This record gives sequence, C-alpha cells and structure tokens, in this order.
Amino acid sequence: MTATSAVPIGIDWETTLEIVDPRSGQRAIDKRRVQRAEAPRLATLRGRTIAFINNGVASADILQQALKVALAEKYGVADFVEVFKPSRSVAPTAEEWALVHERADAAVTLWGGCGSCSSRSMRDAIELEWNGIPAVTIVHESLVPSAEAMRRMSKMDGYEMVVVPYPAQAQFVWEPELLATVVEEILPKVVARLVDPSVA
Amino acid sequence: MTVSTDLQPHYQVDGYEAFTALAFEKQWSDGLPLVPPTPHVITQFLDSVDLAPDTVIGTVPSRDIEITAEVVAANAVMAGCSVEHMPTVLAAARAHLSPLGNSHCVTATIMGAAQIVILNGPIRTRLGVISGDGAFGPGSRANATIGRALRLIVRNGVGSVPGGADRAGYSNPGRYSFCFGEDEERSSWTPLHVERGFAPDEDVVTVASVTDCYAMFERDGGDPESFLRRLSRLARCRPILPDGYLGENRFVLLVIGQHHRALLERAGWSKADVRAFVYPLLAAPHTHGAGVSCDHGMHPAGDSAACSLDGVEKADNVLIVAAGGDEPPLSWVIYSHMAAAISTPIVSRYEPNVKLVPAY
Repeated sequence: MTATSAVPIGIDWETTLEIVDPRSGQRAIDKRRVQRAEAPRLATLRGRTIAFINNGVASADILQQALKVALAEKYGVADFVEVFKPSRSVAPTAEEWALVHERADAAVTLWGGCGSCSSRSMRDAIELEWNGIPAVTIVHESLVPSAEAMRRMSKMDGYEMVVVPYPAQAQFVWEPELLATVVEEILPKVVARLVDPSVA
Repeated sequence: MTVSTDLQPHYQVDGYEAFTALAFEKQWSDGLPLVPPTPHVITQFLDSVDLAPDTVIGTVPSRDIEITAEVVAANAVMAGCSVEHMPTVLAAARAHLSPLGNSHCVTATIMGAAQIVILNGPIRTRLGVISGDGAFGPGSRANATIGRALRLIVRNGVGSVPGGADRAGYSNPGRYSFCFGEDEERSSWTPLHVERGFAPDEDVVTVASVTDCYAMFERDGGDPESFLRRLSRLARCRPILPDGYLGENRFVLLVIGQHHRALLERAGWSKADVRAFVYPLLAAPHTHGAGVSCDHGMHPAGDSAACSLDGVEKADNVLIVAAGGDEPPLSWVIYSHMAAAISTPIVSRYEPNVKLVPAY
C-alpha cells in the first residue's frame, strides 16, 4: 500500500462525466414502510392521559410542570405519563416508549431549545404520530429550522409545531413571570394540535 | 470484483465546471472544490476494501438513514482521498456511526462539534500522516483528505447540512478537516491505541466529537507537577455537558507537545503517571475560588468562581496524545461534545463485526 496513486482516476476533465450522488437516501424508512401520517386527533382532553417526553434542556422541566397544571385545571386532563430522557438528543428507551404507548392518549414533546434536541424532540412527536398517538412538539423560534429539517427527513413536511418566541430564551431557565407568559401564550396552541377542531 | 453503483442517483455533466456547479447547487460541498465521484473511481475505492456498494456501514436511527459503502466511497473521492486512504476513511465512518458516536446529536448541535480523527500505528508512515510540525494541518494530503472525507460523510451521508439539520451557531474551522497522527516515534509514551487495548503494530483510528480547543503556552515548565497543575487549571475552565446516554464515556483530550513531553519524560513520567496526577485536580470539587484563570459560562449561574471539569467520570477518560512540533511550547486541552471517543482498527478488508472501544 502506498500513498502515491493519483486521483481522480480516468477522468477527462472536459468531456461528459457521470457523477454518483454522494448523499444517503432514506433507505431505512422505506424498509420500515411506516404510515407517515398524523394520528387521529382526540375529541376532548377531558379525562384523558397526556404523556410528556422531556429532554431536560434549559426550561423543559418547569415548562412541563406548568403545562401539567394548566392542562389539568383548564382542560380536565386526568393523568400524565412523564418520560425524562437520559440525553437531550436520543430517543426514549424501548421501555419508555412502551409505557407511553400503553397509557397515553396524546403526547407533548419538549423542549426544542438546542439544535440536536429540537430535531430529536420533533422526531419523538412524529414517531408517536406514526404509532397512532396525537402529539405536539414545542420549539423555540430560533430552532424552528432544526425541527423543520427533521420533519423533512421524516417525510412529514407539513407537520405543525408550537413555537415559543423571544423574549423567552432557548437556553435559559425562565423566571416565573416569563414562564407564566409563555404558558398562557402556547397552551391554546398545544391543545389545538391535540384535539380535532371539528369536534372542539 | 465487479460492483454496480446503480443504488445512488447518477448525473451526467459536461466537464468539471459543470460538475462543480452541480455540487454547489446540490449542497454537497463544504465550500471548497470537490473531486468528481464517478462510478469508475468509486468502484476502485470499494474494491480496495472488498465491499459491495450496498453494504450498510452505519445508521442514524433518529433520521432513518443508512450510510452505505458507496456513500462512504463517494465522499472519500470527493474529499480528494487516494484509494489507499479508503480503509482509514471507512474505519473513521464506522467509529463515528457507532452508537456511542451519537451521530445525530453531534452533527445537529448548535455547538458546532468537529470530528477529530486521530491515527495510530504504522499506517501513519505509509500514508504520510503528519504528527509533528503542523499536525493540526494544513499541509498533508492524508491529514487533510481523511479528515475532510469524514466531514463530507457527515454532511452528505448523515444529512447534516448547515442551515438544515446542522445548527452550528458559529461552526468551527476544524470542521473542514481535523486529522492528525500520534507522534509515536518521538515519544516513549504508550500510544493511545495501545492504552485502549490494541496491539502496537495495529493500525487504529480514534474519532472524537469535540468543541473547544484551548492551548497552553508554557515556556518554563519547571517541574512536572507545577506544569500539570497549570494545565489542569486551564482544563477546569468549563465542564463537559451532562449526558446519561453516554454512561461513563465522556472525556477530555490532552494533546501534549514535544516541549512538554520532554519535561515529563525526562522526569520519568508516563501517560499513566500524568493521568493519575491530573485527574484528581480536574475532578476536584468546586473549591478553587482563587487562581481560577477563566470562566466559560457553562458553570451554574452564580458559581463563576467554581470552575471544575465536571463530567469526566474516571481517570481513563483523560485521553493523552503526543503530537506537535518542537516549538512552540504548547499543549492543548480539547473538550468532548456528547459522544465517546471511539477507537477501531483500520483493516484492509471489511469485517462485519469490528472491535469498537468503548463498546456500546
């Protein structure tokens, strides 16, 4: 083995070239033949169980807690399943998925506060949809392109997310006053993503 | 061996200029010109490792992506590799795509993690890999193209294109290419790959996703203890991000330059001695109010005087590599980002079950 052979091999620089696309196709998704569609929405949240898939980033914990209180008080949600992922950018474990699939009627995934966590959180929501559970992911406005990239890779281009705008910061733990403002703003949007508008 | 490259879409272009236009339009490039990935050249690269084009080299489950041998070869060609570089590029890809390489995370992060490729074993000499003067590049075809090939695989194979899945806020010039060898010949220290359980004459690649790189200039090293205390103080500037998925595999990389190696080796210090001395200093509780040299801002709020290298769970995760020229008297602290440093052998023929250290 030597390091002296020339590259490119056999290329005539001025004549027609045949070029191979160097990008990966999404072969695995095609193999799985998943139903790439949203799950049916619920008629109501009252009496239902909501799962939270939490990546632990920045304000994720306090946002989850505040949403739980609001969903129970204002929309009559009966119970919650809470998954705290071991890492910000990985899927829940098989056991955690099983728990959610067994108990949850709908799900919220959060928090899109960094690059890889926002895209993985979007993916969590999409995989729930593929398994028949209506879901919504909450993303900071600065990370919307990341979530968009994931929904594009997942062939779910039109899939909607709930966006938290500035002045809330993606990477900070919010003060109580700001948290209350955020929850007030996004709660109706979260509910709207989980409930069938024609019924609601 | 006859291989087909019909698995991937093909394009017909009228000459190199047209290819370059196509590559930029399709966002295949890191911004620099590429070598055209033609079926003929790709086939030669695949033949060199006896691989069928559809062999799956690794996956990114969060993205439903399988990276095939053909994609690895196409990106190695585009990066400017020679066919002799293909086994190394293949091994680097396998290391990065292994579970603890955490590919989705480290290639979508706002932190702009780069993938360092460290080479050990005789292959450094065969390929002309630089480990002394100019180790971090540019200047060597092997260093430049092997590191670039892995980054193009991240871009085109894994799908992390800046502005899309790649969310790097500043990114990092090390993301064009960051590959170097360990200077095994000019150091009495045990090479990294041997410390990790490989034979001295094995060719091994170690891939590490990293962010910050801090250099320490230290002309008058004094005694080993005082030099290492200062290096440890620098390393305590910031923590390693917490991550339950990686288990006890978060690491910090110390690249020790020739000047400082001479100081340590003259005094009889091995890598193990260095590690045993610095680890307690790195992992000590937050008690260093005085003499703290910087605060990265990643420490808890209100704790700016409490620098510590939180997140390296055991002394073995202080990785030490000998590299760099005689001058200046520099050593480097390089911080991992959400992935383990994965070592795997470089083999001339593909083997399905390959040794990975650490294993998942």
